[in-house]
Amino acid sequence: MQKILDKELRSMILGMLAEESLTVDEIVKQIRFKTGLKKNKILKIINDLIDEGYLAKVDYNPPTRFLSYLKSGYSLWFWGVIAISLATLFTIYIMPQIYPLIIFRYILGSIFIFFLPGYAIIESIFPNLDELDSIERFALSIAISVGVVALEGFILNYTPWGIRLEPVLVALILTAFSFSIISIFRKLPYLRLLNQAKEA
Amino acid sequence: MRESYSLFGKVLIIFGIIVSFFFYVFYGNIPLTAIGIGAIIIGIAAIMLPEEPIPPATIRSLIESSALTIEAILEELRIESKAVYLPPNESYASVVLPVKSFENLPYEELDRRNVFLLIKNIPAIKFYPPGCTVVKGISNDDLSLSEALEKVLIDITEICSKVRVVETGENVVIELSNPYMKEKLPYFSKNLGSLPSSLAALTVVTIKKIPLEIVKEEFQKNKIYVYLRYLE
Repeated sequence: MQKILDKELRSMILGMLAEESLTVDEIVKQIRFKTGLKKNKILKIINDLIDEGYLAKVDYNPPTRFLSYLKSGYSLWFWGVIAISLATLFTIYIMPQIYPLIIFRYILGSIFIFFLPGYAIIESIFPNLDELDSIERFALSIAISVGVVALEGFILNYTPWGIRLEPVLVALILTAFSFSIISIFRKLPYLRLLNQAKEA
Repeated sequence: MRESYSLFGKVLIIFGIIVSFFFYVFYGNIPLTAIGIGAIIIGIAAIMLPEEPIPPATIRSLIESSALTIEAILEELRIESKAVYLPPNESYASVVLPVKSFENLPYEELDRRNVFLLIKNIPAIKFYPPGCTVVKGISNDDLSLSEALEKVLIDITEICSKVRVVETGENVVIELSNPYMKEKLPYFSKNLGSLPSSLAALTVVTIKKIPLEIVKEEFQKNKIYVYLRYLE
């Protein structure tokens, strides 16, 4: 009985979308009005249809300017980079360096050194999500981080500051932050293109 | 692309010579001298990269001459409708050009072997558009849409310098930077889109294997925005 209901629901959603493009909220509202089904149930079917390739979720009004990008959900990764950097600084300078709290410093420090710089660089080289899948992005981020940290250490060694905690922290934060900003400017043209797609 | 490798190689060699000379003579610093020598070696390797078997300019000329032939035929026929790009069916991607526009073209029923077709009593011509053999060559490479477009439009033909693509359900929008549009092909452009757009549409239809049409093209300074729509 449940399966038949799912089938009916699927064909109902596909039938509605064959006639016109609707937002997820509009689909849920119309189906609830017709069937009285729960919102979660309808959303699950919509997600299944997206996963199976029958439906495409399209944002026709993505942010196209720097500030609006920062305020939108698209910039979560950027705020993640900032948050991890700040959390790492917190664990180094403010948090008491005692067991077991120091474990947080080890964990965040590892992410900060072995992932963050490479992730920001990869985001700037491949700004479009379609260019790399998440596993490739993750693996490349780690590989590039290792290379960048070694190179920064090498360069710092020849500066008056040397390889000490503060210069290394500053260099890595600057790397992650500057490449994140570059990534945003490289992502914006794709979002503008997406915005233009509604005209088609 | 080949030229950019060569330029990159030259820049690295000059950088390497300056760095290694400066740090060896004035500072006596061996690690930094080694970095300079490393840059020289990478630069030489970049310059020595083999050329493409067929230079992109040659492929582009062949595609252009093919487009000119089609242009001559279309000039005689004076068809007003827009072409529909059909995915490869055991051979190359093709194009159907009905005399009148069709709402629902019966793609599955078309006999792909014929040049002249009668679709629901409306005459149409079917032909292989310029570049279909080039695109066929990459159809089995398991490339994503953006990779395929870059390969065909930048690496193989150098018909533009940069490609950006977004897919939104049934629409595809492609941004082509610095498109090569030396030959004016008014009839070809009217029916099949400009040559870079046609090649882009051909690549998309070969990779996605869904019939499509060029909805519109926007020409801006050094850029073309191509709007494609899937027809299934």
